[in-house]
Amino acid sequence: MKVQSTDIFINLIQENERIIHKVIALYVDDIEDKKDCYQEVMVQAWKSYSSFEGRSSFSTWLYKVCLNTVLTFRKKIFKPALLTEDLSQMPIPAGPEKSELLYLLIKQLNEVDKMVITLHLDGYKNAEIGEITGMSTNNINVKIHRIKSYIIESFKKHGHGHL
Amino acid sequence: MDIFSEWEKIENNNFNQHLNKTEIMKAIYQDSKSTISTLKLRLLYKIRYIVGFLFLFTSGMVYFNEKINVVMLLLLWIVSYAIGGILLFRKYKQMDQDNGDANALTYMKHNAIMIKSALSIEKSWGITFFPIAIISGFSLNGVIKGENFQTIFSDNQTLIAMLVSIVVIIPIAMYVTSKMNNSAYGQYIEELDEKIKMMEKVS
Repeated sequence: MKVQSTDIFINLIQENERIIHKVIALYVDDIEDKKDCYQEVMVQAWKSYSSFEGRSSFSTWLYKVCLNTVLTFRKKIFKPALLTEDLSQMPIPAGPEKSELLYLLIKQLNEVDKMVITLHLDGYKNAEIGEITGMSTNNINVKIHRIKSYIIESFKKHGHGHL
Repeated sequence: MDIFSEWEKIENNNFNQHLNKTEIMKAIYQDSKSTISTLKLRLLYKIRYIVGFLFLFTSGMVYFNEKINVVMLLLLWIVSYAIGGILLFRKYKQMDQDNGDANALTYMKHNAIMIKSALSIEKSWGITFFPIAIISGFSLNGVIKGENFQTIFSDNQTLIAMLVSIVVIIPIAMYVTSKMNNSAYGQYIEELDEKIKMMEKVS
């Protein structure tokens, strides 16, 4: 890797830092784990940067690196994700703000659903989500529809009406 | 309610943290530690080879213990390898010791210097030892057969063969050693140098 590319790397990371914070916040709960995971993401991003060919945007590439690293990290710390099917049983605090409730609902989704819906909400097209997750566009459509239905139902239950 | 606008609020409230350079530096430092560990491990392989040769030469000394000239030649090799081994081992011991006193950049620089210094010691050792090894190698065959050094060194043909071998073999051996070191260490040393430059830039 050329030395000047290190400057570009730092700038790109700083421009896209939200992706790193977001993925870690959504997938890791423990504060110490978050720090370790953050470190791991940075190391992986730095290591993989030499293989970044610019075929996709840097943000798409970084999303992929973050998700892969965070999911591998979760396996290492043996904290399996919760299943979507159990969500109706999950305790959601009464009367939170809409955005808070949405955040809680997304946080409680399983790894794949969480990944798909956050990418969708971040404005990624289904084809790009497919590129990041390795899923088919049809599958992504179905998942997004199902997750949105689940969110709408949960909002109704908590008295926030329709989305 | 628009789910996208709610998500934007979440983004602004929960993920709007700033990544400072210190954190990026920490990551580079962590990554450098693995490069340094690899370099140290490869240096250990070199030392293990030396120990293997020392064992081989010692066994030879025991086997030929009645032939004093053979024992002397093998002792010369043992001393040479032991000196090389000790010098490399000292560098090995000084590598990858993060005692917390030095900062990350100093630590990385120290390790880069240590590994380069170890390879440079090996090169100097090679330049010194290869001629001795060639001369003693030629002599070894004769002394095993019971000839003395005077007889061996008074033979013009043997002397010419020794000189030609020194002139031809040493540059080849140095070239091969340099290529092998480059393949085993070059990439990692370059990586470490780049990380040092990057660390200097962000610090």
